[in-house]
Formats: sequence, structure tokens, C-alpha cells
Amino acid sequence: MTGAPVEGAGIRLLDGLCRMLGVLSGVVLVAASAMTGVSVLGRYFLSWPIPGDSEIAGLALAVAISLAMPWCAWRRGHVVVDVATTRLPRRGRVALDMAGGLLLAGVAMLLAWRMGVGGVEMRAFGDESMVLRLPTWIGFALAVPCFVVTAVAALVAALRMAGGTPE
Amino acid sequence: MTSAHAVGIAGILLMLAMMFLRVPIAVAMLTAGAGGYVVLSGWTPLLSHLKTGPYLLLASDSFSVIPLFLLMGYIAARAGISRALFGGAHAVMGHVRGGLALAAVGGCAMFGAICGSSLATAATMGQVALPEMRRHGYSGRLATGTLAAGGTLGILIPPSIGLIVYGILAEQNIAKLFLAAFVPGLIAALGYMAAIMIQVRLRPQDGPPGGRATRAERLRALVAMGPPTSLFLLVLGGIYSGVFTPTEAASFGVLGALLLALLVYRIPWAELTASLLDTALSSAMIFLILIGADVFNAFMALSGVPQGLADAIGHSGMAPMAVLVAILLIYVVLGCLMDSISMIILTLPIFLPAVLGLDFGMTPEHTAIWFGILVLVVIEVGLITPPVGMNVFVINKLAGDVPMAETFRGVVPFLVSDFVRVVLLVAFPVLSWGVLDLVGW
Amino acid sequence: QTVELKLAHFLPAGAPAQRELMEPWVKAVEEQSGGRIKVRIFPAMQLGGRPPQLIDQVRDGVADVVWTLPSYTPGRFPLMSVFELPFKVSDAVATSKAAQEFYETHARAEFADVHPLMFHVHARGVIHVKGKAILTVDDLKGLKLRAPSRPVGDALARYGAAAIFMPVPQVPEALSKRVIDGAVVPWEVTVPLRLYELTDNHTEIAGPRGLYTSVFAYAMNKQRYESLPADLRQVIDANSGMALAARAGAIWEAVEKPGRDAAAARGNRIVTMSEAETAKLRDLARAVDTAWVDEVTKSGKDGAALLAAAEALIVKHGR
Ligand code: NA
Ligand code: NA
Repeated sequence: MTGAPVEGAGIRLLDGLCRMLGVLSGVVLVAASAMTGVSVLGRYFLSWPIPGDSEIAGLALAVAISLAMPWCAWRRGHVVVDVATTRLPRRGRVALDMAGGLLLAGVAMLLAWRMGVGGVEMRAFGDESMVLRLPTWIGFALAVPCFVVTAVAALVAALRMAGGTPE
Repeated sequence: MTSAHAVGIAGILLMLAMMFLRVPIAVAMLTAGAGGYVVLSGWTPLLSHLKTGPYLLLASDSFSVIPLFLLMGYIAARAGISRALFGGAHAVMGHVRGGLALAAVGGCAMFGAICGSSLATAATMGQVALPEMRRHGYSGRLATGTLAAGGTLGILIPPSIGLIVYGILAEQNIAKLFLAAFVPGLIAALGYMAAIMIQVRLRPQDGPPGGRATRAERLRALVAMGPPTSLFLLVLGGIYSGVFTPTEAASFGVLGALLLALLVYRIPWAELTASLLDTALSSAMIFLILIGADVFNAFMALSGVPQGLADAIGHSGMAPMAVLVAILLIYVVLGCLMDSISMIILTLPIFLPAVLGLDFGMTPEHTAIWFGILVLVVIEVGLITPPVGMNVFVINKLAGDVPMAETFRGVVPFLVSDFVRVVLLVAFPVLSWGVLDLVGW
Repeated sequence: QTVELKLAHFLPAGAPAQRELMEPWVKAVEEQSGGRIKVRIFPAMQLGGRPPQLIDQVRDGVADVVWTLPSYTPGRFPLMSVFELPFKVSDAVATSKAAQEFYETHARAEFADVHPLMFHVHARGVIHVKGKAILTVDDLKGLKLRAPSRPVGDALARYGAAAIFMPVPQVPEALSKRVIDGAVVPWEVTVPLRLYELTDNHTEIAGPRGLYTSVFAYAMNKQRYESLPADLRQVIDANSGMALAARAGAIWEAVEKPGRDAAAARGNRIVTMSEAETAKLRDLARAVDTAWVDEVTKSGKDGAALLAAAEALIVKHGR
């Protein structure tokens, strides 16, 4: 990245946070793979899979994808159609990208808000997984902060474009 | 047309308008879908759907294969497995005219058997093969065209993220789809090789022959291909022999790729974390599209548009083949504009019911598998057609000195070969599902 | 002015649940309302989301009517799950009626935020296995079996089998790959999943009670129901409750036959477990009852009395 005027400690902190969560997302996927691997071996050689392995995997996947969301928003990794706007002056495209980024921030915030409400309800209802009886709200509670960070990352990434994107 | 149909069509137009104004595809689907949903059903249903819908989608076990296969592919890409594969093919074919291009296609095909994504295949093989070809005096046109086209083998040769997404949405068995893609994938690789051989016959200056490898060099190169080949055998062999389900195979693929990367290829720490971040980026992108499409498709169902379209096609008296060709043409056009995964997720709920409602003289399962392969093939063609050919962009970025127009020109022979292949696959559905009958599935 | 209702469920449009339960219900409601009620069916989760969401969809008004399984959200409807305990189901008709009455007399609070139209169950679960006949408890030892629910999984564990939980659509692939040796499902399910081709031995449980069943809920959005004019509400009332539960039970008994016939036609072995062995299975599964009673008691209700009430209702409606 080049030193754009809006670089600062806050930006570096946000960049580090999104990066850390993204790496953590991959680590969770590797851990889930290892758990599945052990369960398959147990199933074949001992006729004893890890009980509730698919429940752990489902929770791990939901958490991994949630952890991945901030990084994608921060690096503006969400795919965009750009055939219709190639003739536009650069400033026009930047303005459109900013608008798109703000919409993304809004969507992430909407999802965080509704998931938060959903998690509270799941807790009140006592929803739990079948085998391990893991409370369903745990996954919601882990996902919501990730979507909040996603919204912030999308917002900051969009605002930074006004100051000249470093990409 | 009912008023709900009108709202549905307005919603589609709104979504397209947003997409063309550079709103991220997932966001366009979600906001247009949500807007239409509110018009047809009100705020409360939408807000309550979002309470648990997106989370349960993230936690759904049918989707877990996607990030796992992505992770396996990205680890393989960052670890330098592509170098071993290209080296092996190079040692065998490097001495003939256009041999390095042939080796690049072979390397792409083999790398495609580990990696599920076209872009990753193109970028990875490009980093290895492009400098080699340029060093040996290959023209920028042939070198970049070969790699852009060769990259599309990544999505066709299983495992394939495109087929996984298709399988989940069309409720088709992923292992069967993988198997069905093998013959078309092989035809693709052979077709590309034929395209190269014809081109270097016509323009010999594009791909001069290189030196012949010694026996010892060949042996060493072939030995180096051992680890990636065993990873491929573990994953796909495990699926076909029936030892693993696709999710389990993907999990073992992740562990295997990680072990290879750490122990055999000594992957630097920075590259390993980079592969995790690559995975995060792609997974988040695909899942946000899935979340957006879930809302948009619920809105479509409420509007009754897909059902109306399927009825209209059913009553139109058009020949099934004509409908199929029309749909494939739509995919080619869309493929010139859109990202392939988004395209599958967005269009399938609309097109698949229409196709399954037609009589091609096959079982519904065969029709669904055949259609899936065809969609995948035409979408993959879209990756190398102008104006938006993602693979072309990626490869062109790697080759700084080659003008974009030259790369698009280099892709033309491969597009011709693609066209021949699509005609073959449409005319002979057995090329897609024949293997399944052969092994008795 | 007409009222349009959205009816959502998770099965494909061609499934017996839609063809034989929901479509006739829609027809009856539309006719008896003089066309003032119109119902649109949305099969296969067309309104978005995953199957466990259906109960929330009807509660929040995403859908107006749903057909779903309360056990898709484990922990939320503990009382109604009493009919899913091992060795409770007699036949689908009697047990459906018992479930309906149990709801009316004991479990209303559990479903207070929806308007249940009816509860029903499917016919007795059968053990389908590839490779060997299950004639005794010992035959189950070491087998990997797909279990439909936690109570059945707990019982299987007590028999020495490994219970593996997975969504029904994954069962054929898991069977063909030997991820599992068999599955515990009613005959009905064996037709769409072609289980009669993937397994070759089928064990039915003899005696007055079968191995297990699952409870289904057919429910309407509460506000939507209450906002209907009195005469339309009456049309809905006339098409819900005990009579509908009995009819659903009869439908689910009738859909068993094609599956059983398909297995027999293929030359599969269909056996009935002896009474002595069945008694052993039943005794081993009692601990699952006890666990249910303990849990319900812990939540401040009289678990033992509720279990006894459910048992008594099954006997009552079985006559
Ligand atoms: Na591939
Ligand atoms: Na294109």
C-alpha cells in the first residue's frame, strides 16, 4: 500500500484486525478439517466417529465464514460488474464504488442487527443441537461481532476511496 | 401477467441496474430482493427471515465443501505445487515445437485436479509457466492465451467449485457431477493442445522448440510430480472409491495439502497465511452471494416469475433443444459480464425448472447432470471472452509487457476449440453421463 | 375480499405430504370458504431459509401456514417430543390422535405463539441394513446406523450400535459409501431415497409398539388466524384438529406400502424381530424414557405424569 493521506493508527489497527480475523478463519477451517479427519478414521477403524462431528463442523463453518467477512469487505473482494462503467471517468467510478461500499456496510449492519435479534430469541427458546446439545445462540453470538466489524471495514474502505485509494 | 409478476420483473431490472452501477453483486441481489420482498409481503416477514436465515445458511453442512476445497487449492497454489507439475510436463514435451505451451496446458489440467477454481489455476500456473515460455522465445500472444485458456481447466476438471455450487442448488450428487465432468475435461485439455499444435504449425515463430531433457532430468521431474499426484489420488480416489463423502474428502485434501506444503515444499510462513487470507476472501465473497441470492430467490418465488417463465416455455411449443441453446446463449452473454459463481447461483432457480420440465429423452437425473456440465462449460468460456475475461485479466497482469489486445487475440484459437467442444457436448449428452452408466451409478 | 395464505414446507412438490395432505386441505379450505380463501403452496423452502426455520417463519408471518417437524429445533418443544421416545408409537392413526389430544390437554403452552392446526406422526420406523439380517440385539452391535432423532440415537447407543446423525437426503450416498451400514426410517422414505436398492435386509419390530416415530406440526400464524372474519376462521377450524390428525395418520400408514412392496419385489429380506428380542430392546431403551422424565421434571413439570398421560392416550386411541 502506498501512503495515502488517510493512513493512520486507526487504519492500521482496522487492517490488522481484519487480517487477524481472516487468518483465524483459515485456522478454524483447518481445525474443522482435522476434527473431521479424526472422526472418519475413528468411524472406519473403531466404528466410533466423534459424536456430533457434523454439529461441530457446522458451527466451525459458520464461525469461519463470519470471521472471513471483514477481510473481504476491507480488501473490497466482493465481485463487481464493471463492463458498463469502463468509459466513465475515474472520479465517476470511484463515486459509484463508494456508494457500493456504503451499501455493503449497510447490508452488513442489517445482517448483524437481525442475527443479534435471532441469537437472543434462540437463547430464549433454548434451541440446541441434537447430539451435543450445544446451544444454538453461541454461533450467533460469535457471528454478530464479525458482521459489525465487516460493516465498519466496508464503511472505512468506502470513505478512504474519497482520499484516493491506494489500489 | 399478474401484479406480482410485474413487481418481480421490476425487481430483476433494479438488481441488474445496481450491478451495472458497480454495486457488489451480492449486495445488489440482497437489496433488490429485500425491496421486492417488502413490496410483496411487508417488512415483518423480511426482518424475521433475516434473524436466522443467513446464519443457518452459513452453518449448513451442504455448503461446507466450498471453503474447504478453496483452502486446499490456495494452499497448493501458494506452496509451489504448480512448479512440480509444470516441470514434469516440461521434461516430457519441452523439446517439440510449442512444447512449453503444451506442458502448460498439461500442468493446468493436473493442477485443476487439485484446485477447484479457474482463477487460482490460471494465476498459479501463470506465475511458473509464463516466465519460462517468455525466456524460451514464445510470443506474448501464445503464452498468455495458453495460460488464460488453460486456467479454465481448473473449474472443469474436478474438484470444481462451480460444480459443487451447481450440485447443491440443483440437488444433484456432487460425486456424480465430478465423475461426469471428467470426459468433458479431458476433451477440453486435448482440444486446447490441438489448438496449440495448429497454431505453431501456422505461426512457427510463436513457439520455438526447446532443448531435449536428459533421462536423469526427466526422471527427477517425474518423481517431483509424485506428491501432488498422491494428493489428487487421495481426494478424488477417496470420493470415487466410496471411502469419503465430498466434505470428508475436502477435509483430507486440506490436511494433505497442508502437510505437503509444510514438509515437502517448505512453504514460507507468509505464504501460508496468505493462502488462509485468499480462502477467507473467496469464501466470504461466495457466501455473501449465497445470502443475497437466498433473499432474492425467495422474492422471485413470491412474485411467481420463475414459475410463469417455466409455464410459458412449456406451452410455447419450442423444441427442447432450441430452448436449451437459447439458455446456453444467455449464459455466454452473461459470462461476458459476470462472475461465474454468482451467475450460477442467480440463474439456476429460474432456468433449472424450465430445463427439467422439457423432454430430452433422458431421466431427470441425467438431464440435470448434462445441463450442469453444459452450464459449467459455457460459463468457463466466459472467463476468456472479451470484454470481461477474468482469466485474461489475471494472466495479462502477470505479463507486464503484453498488450491486452494481444492476449485476447491469443485466446481466439482456444475459443474455437471451446465452441467445437460445446457443440459436441450438446449433440452427444452421453459424453457427460456415459461414465456414470459405465461404472454403474 | 379474498385472503391469500402462503403455505410453506421443505419437501418437493411431488411428495405425498403435499399431494395427499396439503393439496386436499387447500382444496377443502378454498371450496368451503366460497373462494374467499386462496392458498399458494411454496414447496422445497422456496420462501428462503433452511428447514429448521419453518417454525419461526410461521410464528413471524413469513409464511401463513407451515408443515414441519418440531424436532428440527431440538430443545424448544420438549413435551411434544414424548411421542418420539422409543417404543411409544402404535400405529400412525392412533398415535397421531394421541399426539393431537396430548397437545390439546397438556402441551398448549409450548406452541402458544402459533396456531397449531394439527399434530401427526409417521408410521413405525424400520431398521434397513445392507449385508446382514438384524434378528437379535446382538446383531446391532458395532453397526453404524443413521438415527433420525436424539432419543433413537440414545437407544441405539444402548444397543451397542453407533448412531450417526445426518440429514435424510445424505443417506443414499452415505450408504453407498459405507459411511453407514443402515438407516432407521419408515418404509415411506425408502421410495424417494431408493433405499430398497441400497439395503437388502429390513427388520420390522413386532408387538403393540414400534421402534420410533417423529412428530409433525401443521400450524398457522396466530395473528393471521385471529384476524380472519369469524366465518373464515370457522372454515379453518373445520379443517383442523382431531379429524385432520386422524386423516394424516391414515395417509402416513398408506404411504408405507409402496416402499415395502418395492423391497419385497427386489427380493430383499423382510423380517420381524421376535417378541423376546423386542422385549430386550424395549428394556434397554427405558433409560431414554427416564432421561426425558428427568429433564421435564427439572423444568418444573411432572415428567412422570406427562409420560404416563401420553402412554394412556396412545392406548386410548388404539382401541
Ligand atoms: Na478443478
Ligand atoms: Na468473459
